[in-house]
Formats: sequence, C-alpha cells, structure tokens
Amino acid sequence: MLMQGQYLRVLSLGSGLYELVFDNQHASINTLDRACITELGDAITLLKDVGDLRGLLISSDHESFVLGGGVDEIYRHARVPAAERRALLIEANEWLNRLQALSAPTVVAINGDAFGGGFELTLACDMRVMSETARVSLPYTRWGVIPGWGGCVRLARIVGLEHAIDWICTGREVGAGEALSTGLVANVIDSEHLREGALDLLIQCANGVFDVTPERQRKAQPLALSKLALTLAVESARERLSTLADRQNPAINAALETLAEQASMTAADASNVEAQCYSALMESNEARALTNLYRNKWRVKAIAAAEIKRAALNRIGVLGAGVMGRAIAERAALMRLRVVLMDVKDQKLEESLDEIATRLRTDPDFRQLSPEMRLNTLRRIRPTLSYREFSNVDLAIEAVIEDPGVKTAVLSALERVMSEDAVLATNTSAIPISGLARSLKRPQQFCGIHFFNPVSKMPLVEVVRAAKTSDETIGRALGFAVAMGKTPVVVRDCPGFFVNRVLNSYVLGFLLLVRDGVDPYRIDKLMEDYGWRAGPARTLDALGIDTALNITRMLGAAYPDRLIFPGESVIERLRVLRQLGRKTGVGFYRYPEGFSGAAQFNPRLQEMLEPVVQSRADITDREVIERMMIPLKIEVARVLEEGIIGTPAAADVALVLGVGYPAFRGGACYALDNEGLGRFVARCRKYEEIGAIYQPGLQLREMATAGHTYAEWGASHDG
Amino acid sequence: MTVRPNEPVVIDAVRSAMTLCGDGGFRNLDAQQLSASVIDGLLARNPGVDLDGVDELIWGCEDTTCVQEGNLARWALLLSRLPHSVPAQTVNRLGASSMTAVHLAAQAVLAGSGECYIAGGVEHSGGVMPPMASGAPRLARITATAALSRDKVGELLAHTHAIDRRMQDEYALRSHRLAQRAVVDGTFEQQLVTVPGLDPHGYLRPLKVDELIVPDLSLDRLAGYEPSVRRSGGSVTEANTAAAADGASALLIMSAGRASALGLKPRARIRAVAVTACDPAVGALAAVTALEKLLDQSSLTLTDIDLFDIHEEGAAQTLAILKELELLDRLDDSVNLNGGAIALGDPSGCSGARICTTLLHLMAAREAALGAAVITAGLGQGVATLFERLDR
Repeated sequence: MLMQGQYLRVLSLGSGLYELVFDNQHASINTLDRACITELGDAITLLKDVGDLRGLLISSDHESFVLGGGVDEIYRHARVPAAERRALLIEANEWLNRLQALSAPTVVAINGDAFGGGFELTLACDMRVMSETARVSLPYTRWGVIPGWGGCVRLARIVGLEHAIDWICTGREVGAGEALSTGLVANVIDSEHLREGALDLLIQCANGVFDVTPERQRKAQPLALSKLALTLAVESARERLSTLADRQNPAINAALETLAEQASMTAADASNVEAQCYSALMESNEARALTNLYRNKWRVKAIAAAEIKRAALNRIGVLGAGVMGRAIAERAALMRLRVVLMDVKDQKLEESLDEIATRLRTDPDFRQLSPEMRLNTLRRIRPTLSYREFSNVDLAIEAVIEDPGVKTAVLSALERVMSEDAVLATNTSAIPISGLARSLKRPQQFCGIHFFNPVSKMPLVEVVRAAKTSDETIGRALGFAVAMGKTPVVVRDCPGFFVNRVLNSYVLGFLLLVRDGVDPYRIDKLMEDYGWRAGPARTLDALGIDTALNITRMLGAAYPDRLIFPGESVIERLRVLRQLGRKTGVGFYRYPEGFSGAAQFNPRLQEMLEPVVQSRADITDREVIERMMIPLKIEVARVLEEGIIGTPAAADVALVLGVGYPAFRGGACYALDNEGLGRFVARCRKYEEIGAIYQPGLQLREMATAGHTYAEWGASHDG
Repeated sequence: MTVRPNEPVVIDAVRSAMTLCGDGGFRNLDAQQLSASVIDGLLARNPGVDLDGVDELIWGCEDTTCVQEGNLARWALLLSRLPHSVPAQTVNRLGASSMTAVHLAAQAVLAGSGECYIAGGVEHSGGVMPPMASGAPRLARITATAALSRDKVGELLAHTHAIDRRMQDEYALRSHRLAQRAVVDGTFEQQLVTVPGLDPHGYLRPLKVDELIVPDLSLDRLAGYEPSVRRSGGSVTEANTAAAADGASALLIMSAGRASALGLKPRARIRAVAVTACDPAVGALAAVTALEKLLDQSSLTLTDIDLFDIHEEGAAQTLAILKELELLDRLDDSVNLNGGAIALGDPSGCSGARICTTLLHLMAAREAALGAAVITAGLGQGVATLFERLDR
C-alpha cells in the first residue's frame, strides 16, 4: 500500500503497475468533494514520482464509480465567493491535467455510475472500460452551468463534437451500448470481470501492444473536423436543441457556443474558454435557482424515503383499464411489480394488454429493453374480470371514470375483498377524496395517489392525505410512488390538490388575457420563451379542454369569491364546439396526424374568439408575462398558507415537475424570495382591479410587511 | 473519328419508369424482379446481342438489405433472360453505385477482361426496412454525422453559396417543367422500357409513366412547403429536393470491336471516367472535382462539353455545384434539359445509370458531340462520366 486516504488508496500491483482505488470511508458513494480532490492530487504527485511506473489502473470499491460533488456540495459551490470557486477549478484541472500527462498509460474501470466530475475524471485517462450496467453523464446544464473540469474539451475530442453537444446540453445518462459505439470506451465487460479486463488492457498498453500516444495527441489538438463540418455539426445541433423542453435554460445555449468555439483550438486554449464560460455561468441567477431546485428535489425525495414504510410491496392492483389504469399497470410492471389489472369489460383488458405489448415493442423509450425484459414485463400483468384477485394485493389503486358515485361503489367493493392491512388508493385528479373516504370501513388505509398523464413521462406524483388517512398509509403510498420511479409530494385534500389548483390560477390568468384581446398564440410564444415547456393554450390542448373546464368549474364552485371566471371563457366556447384539444385533433391548435403530429395554428380560432373578447387594450409583453405569473405565485402562497403542501421546497419541486414551471427560474417560492416579497406584493397592485386572483393572500402580505422569506419559512417548517 | 477496337462503347441505354416508393406503380415488384424486367427490356431492344457472349452483369444498389441484400445482381440475373453461365456482381457506392457499375464495365473492356457487359442499377425501397439508427456513431470524431443527412448538407450549402428559398423553388419548378416537356414530346418514351406494374386500382398494366412529375406545379405551391430541417428560416423542403423512388436502369456496354463484329451501331463511346472525394460535410461538391478531373483526363475544358446531366439530389446541392463551376449562365442551353431527380425521383442505386441514359438519349436528340454526367455519393464522393456520340 503506497497511500491510504479517506477517499482513495493507491497500491502497487507489481511489475510497475499501480492501482488507484476510490473507496470513500465516510459514505456509500464516492464523490469528488474538495477533500477528495486534494487526496487525488496527493496520489497523482506520488505516482508521478514512483520510478517504475508502467501503468495505472483506476477503479472504485463502491457500487457506483465516482459521482461529482454531493448535493450539498453543489449547492454550496454555487454560493461560495468566486475566488474560492476559482481556486478549486484551477486545482481540479491541474490534477486532471497531470493525471493525463502521467508518463505511463492509464486505464479506468467504470464499474458503475460516473456522473459529473466523476465522468470528467475518466476522460483524463487514456482508455475507459465500462461495465454493462454503468452509466455516464455530465448533468451540469441541470445546475445551470457547463462542465468545468475539462469535460467539454476532452469529451469533444474523444467522441466528436456532435455527441459532446448532445450529452452535455441534455445532461442525459449514457449507457454502455452508446458509450461503446461512439468510441467513448474501449470495451464493455460484465461487472464480474470488469476489473480483470481493465487490468488486462492496461498490461497490453504497458507492453506496447496498444499505443495510447495517438489518443493523447488527439486530446491536445483542435478537433479533426473541417470548418464546414463544424458549421454543419453546430447548426444541426442547434436545430435539435431548439426542440428541447428546457431549451430556454441559458446554460444549454452557453454549452453549445462553448463547445463550438473551443473545437478549433488547441486543448490548452480550449480549457480557457471552458473555464471562462463555467465561471460566468456559476455567477448567474439561473445557476443559483437550479442548484436550489436540485437540492429541494433531493430533500423532497429524502423526506419521502424517510417516510417509506418497509412494508412489503410486491403485488399491486389496478382497477379500470382506461388510459390511466393501463398506463399505471404498464409502469408498475416495468418497475418489476406484480400487477393485477381489472376491468368489467373483457375487451378493454385485451386492448390494454395489446397496447402495452405494442408500446413495449415500438416506443423509442423502451428501445434499450431486451426481448426477455419485454416479455417479463408483460407477464407481470395479470388481467382479471373479478374483484377476488385483489384479495392478496398490498396496494390497490382505482382509475375508473371521474364520477363520485362510481368511485364510491368500486372502492367499497375493493375494500370488501382486500386484506385488512392493504392500502386502498384513488387516482382521481379532481374529486375531493375525503368524500370518497366516507363510505369506507377503513378510511385510515385510504389515500389519493395522483399520477399525471402521460404516466410514463410525468415525474411527479401527488400523494393525497384525507382527513382520516394514517401516517402508515401515507408512508406506504410514498413507497409505491418511489417504486414507480416517481418523485412524490404529500398534499392535503382540497379541490384540485396542489398541481391542478395552482395550474387553474395560471389558466384563469390566460383566460382573462384572452378576454382582453391578447392572441393565445402570442401568449404561448411569450411563456415558452420565458421557459415554460408549453404555453398555456398548448397545455390546455394536451390536458383536454373538457377536463380543464371541469377543473376550473370545480375550483370556481369551491372558491366562488376568487376563482369564478366572469362571463363566457374561450374554453367554454371550444367545449361547445367539441374542439377538445389533442384528443379531438383540434383545440387552440390543429393536430393533423393525431397524437404524433406537430401542432399547427387553427385557422378558425380568431372567429371563435370573437364572442369572448371584450376589449382590445394594448398589453405589453412584460404585462402578459406578469399577468400569467402573478396569479400562479399568489395561489402557491395561499396553498402554503392553508397547509395543503408542507414546504416551499416541495411546492417548487411540484411546480417544476408537475406544472411545467421553468426549472432555471427555481420555482415560485424561490422566485418570490429572489424578488423580495415586498416588491412582489407591490407589483401585484397594478393588476388587482382585474380580479381576485391578482390579490395576494393574508400570509403573503404579512410576510412581505415583516420582510420574511419562504426560505426562512421552510426552514422553520422542516423540523 | 477513329475508335479503337478495345474502346468501350454504349450500344443502348434504358430505364424503367420512376415510381413512388411504397405505394407506387411497382409495389407488386421487388428490386430483384424490377432489375430482371429492365434487363430483359434492354435485351429485347437489342436482339443482335449474343446472350452467351455477355461477360458479366454489373449492378448497383445502395440499401443492400432485406430483399436487396446478398448479391442482388446474381438474383436479378437468374430471374432475367440472361443465361446462368453469365456471372454477376453487385456494386455499392451509395447514390453513385450504378455509375460506378458503368465505369467497371468500361474499365473491364479497356483492360481486355471482356467485351460485353450489362451495367446499371436499381433501388426499390418498398421492400427494405429503413435503417434503425444513424449508422456511424464514431464518425463524429472525424466530421459531422449530419453529413449523412442530405437536407442538412443542403441547408449548409444554401448558406455557404447564398442560395435562397426562391432560387431553390424556381430550380425545382424548372426540373418538373422540363421533365414534363420530355414526357409530352416523347423524349422519355425513347429511353423507357415497359415493366408490368400496377395502376392506381391495383390492376396489372405495362407501366411507362414517371409518377413523381407534377405537371401543374407552381411557385406558389412550392412556397407552401415547410422547411424540412430548420423550422425557422430553413430553405430546403421536401418539394425542392429529390424524393425517394423505385426504378432501375441499364446500359449495354461493349468493346467497339465486338459491336462492329455483331453489326451493332454504338450510341457513344465512353471517353473518360473519374472519381473524386472531398470533405463529407459538403459532399455534394465532390461533383465539381469529379467533373474537373474528368476534363483534365481528356484535355478538355467545360466549354467543350455540349450537355451536362448533373444529378439533382436537391436544388441547393445542384445550384451550389453550378455556382462552383460557373455554369449558371449555360443553364438553359446545356444543363439537365430533361429535368432531373427533383422531378423524376431518386432511386439511389439506379440514378447514376439513369442520368447516363437520359443524357445519351438527349445527346442523340440534340446531335450533341460531348456530354458529361456527374453524380455524388453520400459522405463526399463524386463520380463522373464523359460520353462522345458515335451515331452521327
């Protein structure tokens, strides 16, 4: 043993071969925190001076390889003084450059996930070998920045500009197959033989069978692409990125421009460009907002994890094989749960299984599944026409039509056959669940689990606590949501729960703007440029005009003093004309080829707007954005005030994951704090004449007067 | 003019109609049968050819998968009237495959390996599954993998060569108008062989109709198409680029000596052939270097060439090539006077032989002495052929 540190150790393997093993003594994962960087530096200095160095193997003793900084580290890093950040940047780059310049070949065995700095470390090695299950990613744009430890410079030189742009701008995880085909890794080996295989490769390199010199030269030079090829690569990437949901995140464009600019430079010059961009982004509001959101997401998940009861969750039941029911069954089966799927119609069950089988085969999301995995997924779903099959499920969720009478009846029927300790849940999006609980014998074991459509893509789940729901039940529902791969937030029962209630205020803001003569397409464009995944009109089309109308009506009835729309709204017009959005092929937009077709303008929209437009005032772009965002923020504050959702952090996470709020703006509470509650409340005054949705609630006004923030509010509510 | 006995000459050149992919007139066929029908059509027009004396069938195809895989040429030969004693090879240089087949035949004649060849190619995409994903993940180290996309390269060339949307649409309109004129005045009739295909009702018919030409096309209609790649500000559309099509084309190539021994009158001699390559990012420009090399080899200049057939991958590509060659001034007198693939469609494995065929018939009709055909292959290759008319 040459060195035994807190985070890594270095040992000799004999005949000039050495191994650097990441083995964090303090946690189950390896992270490249400040202290670990320092140890890495010591290790590299040590290796540089060993006289007989013929080769270095880098490996990990943990399940993952090396992740970048931990959540808190990343959060903190975006908030330390610039000088401190710069010092770490220089230090980390220095060590990685020295690692790359070691006199002998280096091979890294990527046994598990290598994210962020952990992945950048592997790029400084000569050869990478990866296990079949490992993944790599550079998720920096999600934190509002770009890779700063040579990730841009090295990745572009290893796999080419286009893949580097794709991986860095999207921050997505890349599996072993893609890593091999793009030339990122020299070989993919099963976990069991990975280290052995990596060592074998190192010996080959040390013996000169494989020459690493060309690879090192390639990393030092400008990219091999011609000037025209660079233009072609960058322009076609720009086009592709313009379709990303979070395309307005400034880090994505900055990454593209940086990658393009550095491509024709030597690595030394390229590093300066990378460092400048990294440092500038680190200073941005967006980086602070995104790192805050990242930490909030992690906290929300941690809270869920803490509440998850370790009760067995092996078999679940889904009642109702409609759109939601079959999607929940599919997702559960994919996540390796056994599923009983019941419907009263044989034909519906058959259709469901056919549809799931087709999706598994043809949907691009499932491309990485092996035929065996597809078959096993299907086999986990057991269709049935009888309630009896629910006698041994651990959790049952009903997804029948949104009719309180029908729901009450099926819930009672389920409760009769289910075992005493099983959890019963409803997937309603609109019906207050305390009413549904009334006829149940075991209301403490009943809750709402609100999945969003489409289930496979929407990352959020609302776990709804009714008046009598027990903590045990909430814990098990959270466990189920996590097992489904979702981020759950707990909300108290109220009309619309959190997501639809908040979304409703945003929709009301939209309807009022349309009433005042603002073109819906203009509003969509402005909100999409502001960073929303979809503008309000597009969102309504996706949700279904009838569904949206039901929600606004229900909330109007629940809060008649605030949330009733005065007069006829444009969605009522569309509802009368049966133009219900995507599902009917026409709504605010036209959808020529059913679900997959791109939206086109509806040429008859202006005509339909005629009766609902009451005035045509000059409304500036800024005013449009304010009139959309203010009601939403006010409603979030009210929901917090009422205790519907626990913390501002949870609210912001739910907004981004469930409503489509621009992630790089951090969420409503974050934005309110950032602006200052006093200034926000003052800003609302200009609009309060328009309606009650522009009038802040009591708590928000009091907090504004007292100069408080939601961050403080959250901290005091955490314990 | 004296033609040496070992020089390669073209006796005849034919093509099938160009039909829509998928649900077009040849949906009853596959690449093997379509090839065999065109080969038989060529042989039927030239009864003087001794079938046992054919040295080889050399046949181009780009997507050599599914029914087009294996040695497609041999399948086609076995289905045709050619005797089983004639060998066959398939050639793949992507979009230039069948022009390369013509070159191989010419070179074999010159080298004395044989004296009678049938060269051409086919593409019938209806029977072929589209490739699963971009087939070149490691290409990004070397160049832009977007170079695999015709439309993206078209946008780049439109940008670098200042070719706007209107110029492209006007060029596309010209292609359709000239092709339609060649239909109406019977020019195409001379080069077409009938192949049993299906009419729109599904009834078997001897087919001779180029299905993709739009006779009543207008600039307004062209302007209505959405850009294919750059959704805002793009200029390349589905309508100003060549659509995929089904089709086959074949040339009968002999030594001048064999032709005269059989008493056949050659249409032209193949005076020179050339292949070049360039930066894949602007692959279409390989047409320019291929043409220049072709002229260098025969000590000629552009002004010596009477007629050009420059393959129309897309209007942006063709216009960029014409700009580079400074041929725009000669557009009306010398370039693609029967239109091109923008109007006819582009069955890639067939197109190289198809433009040779169209050019040879046009040379005869116009009594032109020298004609040059040039086509590009994906990832930056240019292939060119110089014909000199002999039936004067």
